[in-house]
Amino acid sequence: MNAFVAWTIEHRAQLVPLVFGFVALYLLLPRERPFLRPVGTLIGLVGLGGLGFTLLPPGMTLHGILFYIFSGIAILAGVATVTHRNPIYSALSYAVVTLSVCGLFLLRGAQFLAAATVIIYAGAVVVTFLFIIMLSRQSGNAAYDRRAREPFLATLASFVLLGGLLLSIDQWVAQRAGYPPAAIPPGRLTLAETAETGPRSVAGFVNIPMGAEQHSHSNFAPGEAGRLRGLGRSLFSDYLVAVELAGTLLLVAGVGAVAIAPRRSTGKF
Amino acid sequence: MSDAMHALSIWLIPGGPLAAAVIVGLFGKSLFRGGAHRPVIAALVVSCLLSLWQLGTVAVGSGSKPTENGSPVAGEAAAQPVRTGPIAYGFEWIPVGSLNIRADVQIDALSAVMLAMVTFVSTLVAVYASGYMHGDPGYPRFFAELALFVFSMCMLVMARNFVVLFVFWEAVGLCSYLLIGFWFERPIAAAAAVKAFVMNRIGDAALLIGLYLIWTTFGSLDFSDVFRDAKVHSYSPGFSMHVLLICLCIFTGACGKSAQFPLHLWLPDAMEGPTPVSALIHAATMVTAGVYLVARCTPLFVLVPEAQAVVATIGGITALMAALIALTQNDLKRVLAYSTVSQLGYMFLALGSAAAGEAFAAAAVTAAIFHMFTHAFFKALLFLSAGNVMHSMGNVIDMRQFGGLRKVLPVTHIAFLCGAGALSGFPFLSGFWSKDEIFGLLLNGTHHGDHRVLFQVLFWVAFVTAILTAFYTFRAYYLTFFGPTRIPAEAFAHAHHDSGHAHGDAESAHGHNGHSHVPVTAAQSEPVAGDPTQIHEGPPAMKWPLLVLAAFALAIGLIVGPTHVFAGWIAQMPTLAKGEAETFQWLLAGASILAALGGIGVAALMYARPSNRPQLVRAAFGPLYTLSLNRVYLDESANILVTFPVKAIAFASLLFDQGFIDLLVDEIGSLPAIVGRFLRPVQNGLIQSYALVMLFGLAIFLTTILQLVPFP
Amino acid sequence: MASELTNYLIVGAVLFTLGALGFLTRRNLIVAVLSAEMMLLGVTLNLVAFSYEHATYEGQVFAAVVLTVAACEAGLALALLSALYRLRKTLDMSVWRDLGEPGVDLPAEKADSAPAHPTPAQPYPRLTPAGRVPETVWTETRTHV
Repeated sequence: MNAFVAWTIEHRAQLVPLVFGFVALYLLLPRERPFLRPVGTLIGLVGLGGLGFTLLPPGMTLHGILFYIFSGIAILAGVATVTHRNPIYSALSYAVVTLSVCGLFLLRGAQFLAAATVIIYAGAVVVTFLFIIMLSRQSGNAAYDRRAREPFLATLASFVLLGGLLLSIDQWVAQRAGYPPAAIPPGRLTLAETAETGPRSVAGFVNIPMGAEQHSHSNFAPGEAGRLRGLGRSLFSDYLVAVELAGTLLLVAGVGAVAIAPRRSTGKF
Repeated sequence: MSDAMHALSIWLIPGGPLAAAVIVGLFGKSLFRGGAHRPVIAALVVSCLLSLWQLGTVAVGSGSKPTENGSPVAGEAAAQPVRTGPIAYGFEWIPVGSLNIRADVQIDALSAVMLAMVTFVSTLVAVYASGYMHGDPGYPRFFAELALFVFSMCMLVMARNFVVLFVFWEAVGLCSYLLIGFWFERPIAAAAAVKAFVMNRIGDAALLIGLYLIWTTFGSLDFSDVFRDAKVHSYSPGFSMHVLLICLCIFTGACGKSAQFPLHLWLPDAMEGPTPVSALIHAATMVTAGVYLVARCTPLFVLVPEAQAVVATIGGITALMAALIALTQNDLKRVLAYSTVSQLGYMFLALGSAAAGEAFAAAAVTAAIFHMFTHAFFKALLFLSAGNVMHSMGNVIDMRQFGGLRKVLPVTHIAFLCGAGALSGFPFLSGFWSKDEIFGLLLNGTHHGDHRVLFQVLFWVAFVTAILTAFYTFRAYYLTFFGPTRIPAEAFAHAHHDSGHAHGDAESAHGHNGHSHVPVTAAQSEPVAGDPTQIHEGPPAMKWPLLVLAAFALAIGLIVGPTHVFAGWIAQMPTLAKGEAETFQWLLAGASILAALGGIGVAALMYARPSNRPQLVRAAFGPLYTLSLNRVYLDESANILVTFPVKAIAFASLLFDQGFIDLLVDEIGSLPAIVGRFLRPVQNGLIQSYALVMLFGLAIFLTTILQLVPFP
Repeated sequence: MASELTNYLIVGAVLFTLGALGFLTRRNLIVAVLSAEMMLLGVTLNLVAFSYEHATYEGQVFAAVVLTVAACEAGLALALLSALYRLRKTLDMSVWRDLGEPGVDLPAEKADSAPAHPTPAQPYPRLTPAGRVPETVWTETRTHV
């Protein structure tokens, strides 16, 4: 028992936000009498703060601030997607999540992916979702939107999973070589330095390369680090089969969607 | 003669009928049909001839007539040359530990005498049956079962150990069941068959216990071992108690098979079977198996005179009671059935009279087997004559329905008269000689041994029974063959049926296709004054066996009795101590002649001419008459005492089984349903709940495998 | 203390969890599919983070394929949804329970019997009539699309 208590105290950084988040989401999920939504929102913000505060480095670089902003928006919008009663707002929040995550992609040097995600997800998928929602609506808030299924068990399961993920990440981190790393990685400018160097550093901010020589299994060709050219080359040489298969998959899915969707001629939609 | 040929000839005696039974049983309906009797009769003739030859070889051989005044040495000390007779070896059947039971056969004097009698009478009855059962739909089945019975009976008397004997003891019981219930579509016949089998079974249970006791006492089940050891150990303490129990168990088994009180109830009901069956099985052969068994076990019985006294007492009780019942019966076959029971009682009386002393064992066995021998002939004769009457009277056997048949059925009349005379003990006929020996033995028992008073009583019981026997036999005779000629209506229907067919041919053309001799229940038909000349005898197949048997009934007693030929045969029996010779006592003979003639005279007085004397006597004896007519209510008491409790126990068991055990099993069976009812809601068809469970599982796996949480 | 990689992993985990929660909880078919898409997004974030960490394009390529698959899946899912809507005229996931045991009822079904809150009829703006009124008068008023 004592070992358990000691362990709890040791891992409070993960467990406290977890508990807060659990309570918040349980309260936020749609239910018949949503009187607890403001309370849930408050608790959720506290939990998010806890998560942000105890798990992320306090390094004050532009990189870090942008990371906080993007990830915070992503998580908040994600909560909104899951808990909002109106499915239209759910879809719109999902678009916000997508945009935030694209920001995170940009911070990690995946420009093509960011652009593609914005175009495909936020552009096409979400809009299609909105169309279907509009075409399938009943008058007013439908009964099935007003009440969630098994809120307690579902939240419990999800947060147990999240707890497991967080604890495993923590465990992995503790075992990793080169731990703890420097607070500010080399080549990164602090805020003050960024303010000094001005737009050029911001412009070069997006394309922060990783030194190819620092990693054993990097496949960056020299001078290509973080560039779109490298990604294109890699796509069509190293991973050609995957690309072709993905194309075929798209074709099949397109044909399938046309086949499944109801015909206009066979009746009113 | 070489050993192999000798053994073959021995095996052929039961083997022939067995082969005939198998062939007729399998192919009777298809191949033989109306000719199913041919293989069976052929096999029986072969068996009969071989049995007679064996009799000549084994028994007659060195039989010396014991002198009148010489008293041979008593049993123990004499160095008897043991003639075991030829042994035909079979195979090793049950070798278990120290017990080694072989399936061998042996013919010694007793076996030879019985074999000769059984096969001879069987042959004659089979010939008779080929005429009597003609046209019956189950003709092949009848002969197959008949042959099977003869096979079983032969093996029974030839067995060398108790187990083989028991096997064929059961087999003859089985054949009796099959044959009594031959017309199984009649419920009463089926019921009678079951009754016979079940009552036999009761005796068999006791016999089986006796066998177990023999095994534990003697360590072996072979006749030779047991009888030799019995003589050796006769002085051990406690041994006599074992042997007493064994003897009582064996005697109970014999009672079941030989219809002694109280297990006699099945024999009168067994008359529901065809008449040849009654003649063969329930008069001459199967019921004598009990007598054979007790005779075979004489070396055991001589050790415990108390058991022999019990044997004699039961025999006496049975003889008297059966005779009293037979006085009033109206059904001819039932009179004969009770007469059989009574005569079997005489045989056991004879066997039991060896209680007077070990020296008299030989005489006792001789008398019993001799009476069995003569009884076989005259009783079979009487039954076959009754069959003739039944056949001609259209299956009516109630004596009140017909009368005055001596002009209508002359051959049957003569045959019946011979048999009746022999049964009554008419002077110098066969029954006279055998009964006289038994009287002599009983008288002997009053002078020797420990049970003199008992044997005094038994002697007078036997004497009175002899008078009654003569009376009821001739009552039946006069009622049937004397008085005004009355023919029941069924007889004419039968005769019309017959007259449309050709006569004078051999057995097969009598034209009884499609009908069977199912007996008509009594008091259904009214005697009709029809033309008696239309009624005639049966076919030759039904006449010649009667005549042969009549000749034997008349003469056989005279030939083998007083001439001590029979005694000589039996004396060859290996385990019998040589005993005193039976002297012919003229006084006793005179008394028994008087008894017989007296009974016949009274019967003639009452029944020879139509008169009201029977009614007067009936009125005088009112309640006793009713008691006798209703067979002393023994059937009813057995029903109450035995059947009803057994049925009650069965019903209670049924209730327990259905109420408790079925309930228990059903409850256990409903457990999966109950468990399922709790588990069912998990499968509600929603992917979300399934996904929830999967997620839970995933989370738990993750934390467990990665050991993220230290479980307290 | 964590490095940057773990930050991104944590964010990806949170997004994944939220998506799982939404999928398990919401009864609206479309929101459930949307939550599933969010799960994919979280995973994609993980991939990209690792791609940066190991200085390789594998993660990005994988992420691109995931993106493709997600798009296909969204298209097919929506086609299925529209077909299902045509059959039952509702987007409730609870009506599709044919594979379950017969006779098993969902709890708290009675709350659904309450009528939906009707939104007040939107008053559509009416323009002042101009010109000649046509012969056929459009009298039907629509309160919903």
